[in-house]
Amino acid sequence: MKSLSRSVAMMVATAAVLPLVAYGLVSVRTLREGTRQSVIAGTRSLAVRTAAQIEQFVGYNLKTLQAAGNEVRGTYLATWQQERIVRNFVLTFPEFREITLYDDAGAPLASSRLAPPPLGQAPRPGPGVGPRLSSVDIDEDLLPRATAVLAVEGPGERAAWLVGALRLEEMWRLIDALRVGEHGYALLVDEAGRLIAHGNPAARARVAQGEVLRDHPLVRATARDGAAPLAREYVNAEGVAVLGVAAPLPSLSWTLLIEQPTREAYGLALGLERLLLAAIGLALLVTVGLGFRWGRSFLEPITALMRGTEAVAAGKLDTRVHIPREDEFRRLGEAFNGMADRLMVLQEQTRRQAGQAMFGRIAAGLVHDLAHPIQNIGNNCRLMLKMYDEPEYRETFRRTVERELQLVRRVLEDLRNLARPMPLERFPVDLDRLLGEVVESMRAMSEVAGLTFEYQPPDAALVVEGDRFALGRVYRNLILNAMQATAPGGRVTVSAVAAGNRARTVVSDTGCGIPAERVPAIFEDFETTKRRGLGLGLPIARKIVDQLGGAIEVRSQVGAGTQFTVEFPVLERAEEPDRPDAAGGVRPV
Amino acid sequence: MPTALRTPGLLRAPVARTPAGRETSRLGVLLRGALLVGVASTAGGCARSTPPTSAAHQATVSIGIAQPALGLAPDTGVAGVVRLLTSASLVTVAPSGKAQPALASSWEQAPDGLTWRFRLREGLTFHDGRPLTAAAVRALLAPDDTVVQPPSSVLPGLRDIVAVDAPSPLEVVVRLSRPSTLFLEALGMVAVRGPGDVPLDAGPFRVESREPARTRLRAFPGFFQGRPAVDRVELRSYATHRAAWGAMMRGEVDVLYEVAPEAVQFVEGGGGVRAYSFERPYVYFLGMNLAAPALREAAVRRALNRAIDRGQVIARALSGHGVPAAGHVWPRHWAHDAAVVPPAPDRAAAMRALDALGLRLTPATSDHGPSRLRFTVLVPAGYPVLERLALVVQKQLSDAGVDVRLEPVPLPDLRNRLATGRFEAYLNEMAAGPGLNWPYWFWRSTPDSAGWVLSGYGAADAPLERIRGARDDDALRRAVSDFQRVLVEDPPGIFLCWGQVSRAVTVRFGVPALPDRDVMRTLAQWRSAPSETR
Repeated sequence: MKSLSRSVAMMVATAAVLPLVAYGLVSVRTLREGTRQSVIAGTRSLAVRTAAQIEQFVGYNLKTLQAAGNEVRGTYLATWQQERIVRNFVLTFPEFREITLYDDAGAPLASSRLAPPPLGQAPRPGPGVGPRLSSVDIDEDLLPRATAVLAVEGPGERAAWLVGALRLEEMWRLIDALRVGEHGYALLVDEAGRLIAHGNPAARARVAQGEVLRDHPLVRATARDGAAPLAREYVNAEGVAVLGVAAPLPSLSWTLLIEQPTREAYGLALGLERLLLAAIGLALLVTVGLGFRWGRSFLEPITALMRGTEAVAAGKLDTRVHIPREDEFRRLGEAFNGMADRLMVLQEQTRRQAGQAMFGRIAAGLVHDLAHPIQNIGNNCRLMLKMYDEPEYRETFRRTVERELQLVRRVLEDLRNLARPMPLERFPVDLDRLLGEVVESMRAMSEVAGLTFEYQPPDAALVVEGDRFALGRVYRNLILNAMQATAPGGRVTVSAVAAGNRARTVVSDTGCGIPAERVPAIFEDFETTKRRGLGLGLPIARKIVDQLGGAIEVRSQVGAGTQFTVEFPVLERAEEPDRPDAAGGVRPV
Repeated sequence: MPTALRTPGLLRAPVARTPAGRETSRLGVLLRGALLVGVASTAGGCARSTPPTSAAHQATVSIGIAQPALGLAPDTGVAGVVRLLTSASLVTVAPSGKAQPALASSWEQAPDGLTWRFRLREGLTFHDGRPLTAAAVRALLAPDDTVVQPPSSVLPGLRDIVAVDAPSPLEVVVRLSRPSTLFLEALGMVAVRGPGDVPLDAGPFRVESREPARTRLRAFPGFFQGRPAVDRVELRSYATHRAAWGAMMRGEVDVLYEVAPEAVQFVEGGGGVRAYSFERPYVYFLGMNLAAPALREAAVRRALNRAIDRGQVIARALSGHGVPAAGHVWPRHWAHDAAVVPPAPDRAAAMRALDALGLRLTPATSDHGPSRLRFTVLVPAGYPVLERLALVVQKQLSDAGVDVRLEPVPLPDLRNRLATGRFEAYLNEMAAGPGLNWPYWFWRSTPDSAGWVLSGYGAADAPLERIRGARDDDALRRAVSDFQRVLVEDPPGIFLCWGQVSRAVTVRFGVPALPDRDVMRTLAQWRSAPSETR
């Protein structure tokens, strides 16, 4: 049964569960990797596009400054004209907070400011280089700004620089507008690794504080790997695992970063993954459930048939199986039930035949057991008619008739005992004395049968509790059976020993033995190996032993002999066991 | 009510003269102390508020104030906020210009309009615990010889006081020489202070300590509106706005006192800071000296006004954060006449008008471009907003053929030149409300106010006198309307626009929302969550 269940379970696992699990693992892995690539590609595209917009924004303003430079120099303009030009530029292009034209010594020539400061330490690119942007910082209005410097020099003119203070609010707006999901923000880092814009308003203080991100993994990687967009997963400064994408701004040497918590970035994938896992788990459950159900459905009729078979084998022939199916199992069940029906019929027939046979045996036994005494009595009665006058014969007749009637009474007593338990008395009985008497009473018979008859008494007195008459009958029966089963020249031995707190009596012979298949039945009523008799000796002996709390067993080997062992508990405190001179051999305790 | 806390504008720190014509050293004290009251009370209720919880009492508000070194007194910004938070006046003036009870719980005006009887609240004290009685008010307002520079010398509403009596500790009787609509609102601009060398105020907070960059204020339990919910106020000064903002970002301060409107969206964010913007009763004004030959004619000044597109000015100079100005009367004043507006901007019409006046274009020279009219505008140096306004105005006037030269002038020099008439034009912002004292003070050409700006303008005297002497609301409305009309028809310059300003406050404070009001005036009512209490 277990083996069959295991086989079914393995079949279900192999056929359904394992492929499903394998499919789930492959699907999850594929989904995870695919989503990751998709998210990275999308974020990278966003970063590249925004980086391009920022470059375009800054580039446009640098070109504006270039245009202002073209207008302000090279045409021998008066100062008021230069001033008007730069002021018009400032008013026309609001991204410029101010524009100032400085001479080669750094003194202002014309400016949109009313009192422009000296040029100071601003970077001064050489002629023809184009505008150069300084680092980004926060101005007095708390807005981001950068200074753009352009070398302007006309033919025959002295070197000069046009310096514009560029407002980068639009750049901040671009960064602010770049929001990926709920918590994905953009960061802008300049060429020195300084944070110059942060899309998270709460993190803007980091910009104001001039935080340097030189050790940022993406900034480091960008500096090392060049202009290609990068993507990494790492733990950011706040201790959050993020997906970071970097897009360089080559013309400015800046880097745009987008950081999004991986939990959010892959949130959709994780959701799908969870959904997939749930679906696979559900499918597994369904598969296992269905497999269990189907397997159980498959095994149920087999189990029912097995149980039915076992019950029938145990003798419960009324057992039937019910297999409510419409397949071969139902036919098998019906066949089983038909077989059980047939067995019941056969059993009834057998019982009837056995009863008849037993009746015959009883009748034959009775005829046998009673015929001889009756015949003897009859013969003696006829002789009595002839020899009535002989006193010796009358005495012989009396003894003979009494003996035969005693025999008849015993047969009838056996039958009566078979019908109802014998009433037994319980007195201390000296086993040695009892066995000695029985052996002596049967010694003559053994001599007639040509047997060697031995009695081996116990080393010490063995007193048991029992009915002296009933115990004598038990031992007498066993010895008689032994003598009857032993061919002349054989040996019958009776021995008694103490075995612990039990008194063991063994009656053994060297007779023909009992076939092994008959041994279990020898204690049953009317079972005998002899050709004559009712076969009630051993059943009665067993009933007596059982009633007295003893045990009887038999060992036999065909051709070697048989050994009966009878055990009774030893009566520990038998002060005065029975004596043969007591009335009837029995003395009340 | 209007304060001189924010800008360097000379008109918020006017130069006053003694009758002898000498500039007094007490001017700063006068204007920054006694006159310019930061009445921290709200425009609303005057009743004593419910005592705040003990948790709220533990709250401290730190205010970051940028004080660029631009020639002003080192503590101008902080001092202004201190005045705002420590002083109290008899009445407060709502944005509409209406007076409301403050230290005085009620008042009544005699039928002749000359006698005013004020009833003080019971139990008032100064910060040191001394009782604030009618005697202290009398000492403040009485024009006796012991007051070197009485407030009445500046505020027009107080000039007519002839006698002040204190018949009982809770009763003040003021006698005027003539009826004045400016008197009551002027009382809202005068802090009631106790005697002594050290100013003794009765406002919601008292000064606890002063250090170079830090002033600490403590809630005054005896404040007439009840103990403030905020227990302590710490004013920290920074060299730049950027430094102050950085301090706020680091969590060192809870309030950024001044934020440019265009920076609000960048300062706000993350849910940590909220900006409160409001229109201030200050007008950006390009004033003209009628003594300057080029600007003497009203027609010229009208033509110049016509050449200015105020919408463009606001868009380009203030990033759209402003309201076009039609004159000097605060648009939210209850008597303001919205129907009086300057002519629509029309550069061609302006040029035609100038042409008609004989001001035709002359060729360019090495010093300047072609122009029909040339004058110099003084601009306070170091104020980007004013510089940008000046550039826009210069450009617009230049487009009309008017050559404007912009001259940056340090603030003290500017005051001096304006007071002495050594200028053609100037650009600044002027206090304008919420009452009418300031317009009267600026444009009434009486000898005692002429020292403020020696511009020679007197066209508005008549309507201003009608404003002062109006006996009912209708009369006042008509007088205000006439005053507005005079400023349009005979403009003393170009009223450009009303500006905006913003305060940034961390969201850990619950700030009472009052539309178009400076949230600093409600500081006493701010509350913080218990978990945020420091």
